Amino acid sequence: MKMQVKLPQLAPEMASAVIVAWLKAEGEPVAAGEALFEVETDKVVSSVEAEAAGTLEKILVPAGEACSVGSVVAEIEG
Amino acid sequence: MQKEPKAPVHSPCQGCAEKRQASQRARQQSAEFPTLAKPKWLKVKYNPGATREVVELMNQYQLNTVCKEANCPNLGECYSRRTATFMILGEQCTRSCRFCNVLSGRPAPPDPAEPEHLAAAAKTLGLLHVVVTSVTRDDLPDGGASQFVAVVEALRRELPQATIELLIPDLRGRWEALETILAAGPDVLNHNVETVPELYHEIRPQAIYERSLEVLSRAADYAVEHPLPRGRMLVKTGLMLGLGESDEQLSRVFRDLVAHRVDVLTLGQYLQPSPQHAPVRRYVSPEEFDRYREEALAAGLSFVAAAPFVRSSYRAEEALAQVRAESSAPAN
Amino acid sequence: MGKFIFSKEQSAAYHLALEAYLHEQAIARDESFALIYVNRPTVVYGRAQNPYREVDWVQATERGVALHRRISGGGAVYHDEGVLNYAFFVPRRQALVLNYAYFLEPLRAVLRELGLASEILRKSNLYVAGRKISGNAQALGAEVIMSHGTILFSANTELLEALLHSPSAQVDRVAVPSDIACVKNLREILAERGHELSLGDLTQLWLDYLERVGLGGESFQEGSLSPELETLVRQDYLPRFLSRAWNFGRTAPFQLRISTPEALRADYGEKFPRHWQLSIREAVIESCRAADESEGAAALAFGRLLENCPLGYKELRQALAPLGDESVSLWLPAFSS
Repeated sequence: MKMQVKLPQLAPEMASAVIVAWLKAEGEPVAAGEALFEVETDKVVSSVEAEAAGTLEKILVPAGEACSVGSVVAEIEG
Repeated sequence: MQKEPKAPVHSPCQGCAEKRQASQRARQQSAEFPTLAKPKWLKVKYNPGATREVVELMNQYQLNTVCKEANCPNLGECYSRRTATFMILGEQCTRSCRFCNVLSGRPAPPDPAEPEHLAAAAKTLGLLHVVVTSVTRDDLPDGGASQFVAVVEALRRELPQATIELLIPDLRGRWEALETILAAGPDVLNHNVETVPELYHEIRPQAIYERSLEVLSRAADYAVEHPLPRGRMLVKTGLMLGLGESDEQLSRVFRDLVAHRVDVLTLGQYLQPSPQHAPVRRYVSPEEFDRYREEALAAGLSFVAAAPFVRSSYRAEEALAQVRAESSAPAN
Repeated sequence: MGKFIFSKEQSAAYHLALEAYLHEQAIARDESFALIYVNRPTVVYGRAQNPYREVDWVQATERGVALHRRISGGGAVYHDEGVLNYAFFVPRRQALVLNYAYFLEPLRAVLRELGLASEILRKSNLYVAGRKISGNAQALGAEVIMSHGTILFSANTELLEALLHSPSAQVDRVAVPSDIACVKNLREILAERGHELSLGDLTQLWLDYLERVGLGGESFQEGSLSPELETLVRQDYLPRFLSRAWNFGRTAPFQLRISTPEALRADYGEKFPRHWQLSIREAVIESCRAADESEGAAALAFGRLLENCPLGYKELRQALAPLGDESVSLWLPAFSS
């Protein structure tokens, strides 16, 4: 079952963030609660955890790119 | 204009499957939000005579007006006020925003004759205020900035009395490209924020809210540091309402715009160009538009045009004249 | 009751490793910490920054200034004996995310007591008398927040300005750029108002405030780090912050444009390309081509010297050695603008 990973809203006024790094590669397994990627917004770097277990199937927004809150950044095959 | 997907005559390939999925999604969306009946304040009378002269000229010079491309309801009125909006850099856009009627696809290289043709057409039409916009050209290293500059230069040569307004894309944050556009000296720099940040991922997926705000504040800083002979360059932005935004979300945007030193705001009703585009979530009444206008003015914006049919360049020349008149020093 | 720890070390790499340890191990889940430290001359840049663009890295190396990447976001900052660094580690609360004002309150209170008004601009910068004296950044963990910053007290501002780049126009802007503003040493601002203070004095006032009033109602008492913790930090965390992969490798691929040094153009002749386009990936020069795309023998030979050369001081020196020592010392600054 394909699950979408979206850029979460870390703070009320946050509209977008830069993807700093992907901590997993495409094809790698991901555990629920495991840190999946890091983002930066307004000088804050935050790691974002995977909500459910599965395999990281596709990274849609590569490291170094900015995207809006709510955008789908990756897909996980659960 | 988008074409309806044809019934497959061969075994369905990925392209057809994707098109079918897209129309299925569009139908599902309409089912969730049954198409709202257009309210009576949105019914419009077209005046074909007024626009014929312009359409013929556009064809002659192989030019595009976004008025035609975007199906603008104000077609007749603007032309009669000697304002027109030209779209440069082709008809194909490198993005796929969900509100826009312009075709997405792979665009052709810029036409070096375009600036001259545009200036000649503007001169023949006797335009007083020329608005120049473009499709978004992420494929070009400078985002198309040099073409904008060439157009401004050609217009200044052919029509020195006309005021020039540029409605630009975000140039993907390439600030030195923006700088070249600002240095060309337009009278108005317009960049549309389009909607509230919460809807960006859905409506403007390839854009970033803060980046659009930064385009505006950089333009504002430039305007202050480089006064023009006729008055300071104005900074303008616009939003479409009815995409699903809330009052609170709009209030936040008004505050952000003032903080980024925007002068002029336009608010208009979003109209769905086709079933494949984002649905209209609400029709905002003229009274509600007035309320938003009051709120935006109170927040600190200098000029706000807010009504169902307002588009970015609606009465653009009026806004420019008014703000310049208000801010010019009394006769000394 | 939180703990503050005053580090006696002077190594930026060690302090960055210590911060990473305290943050990643979520030490503040149970107890708030404040770490105070001073570094030897170092430029510390943000998690997502491209050091090659943000810092004059060749000059930094030649002037003995270290270069290190930290775990939090934001821009490049200069540290030396005149800069006080602080890092707060607190349990995560939504109200504190992106809330720099909360963590700046102790410093603002001390300044108020000294008769100085301060303002927070662009969320994370503290300004006094129109000049920036403190920059801040955060890292968010699932259960904890680290919010840290610098106080520019009596730094070598000549070196700071020489090494840090203002946000000039950059063609490919993928990494996060610095936000260099008009910085000024706090000591000077205080002296102009009749206060003669040393960095030690300011630090003492700041720590007194933390003890008396604290942060968000929680006061801090002096504490220390156990030897076991220090050993763990040095063994498990320090290597990362000393590694080239962390400091330079984690940079998104970019294009670097350099120019043949003026002084050498006469020697090389008219045909030798004036500008070069380098493709950098993982801090290695993937390719070096003449910017005008000419492919004469000299252009190709020069390109070959640099192909696959890591973009680093020692490595470039070695790769360019065939050109002779004098030429090499003229070439090196060309690689960092």
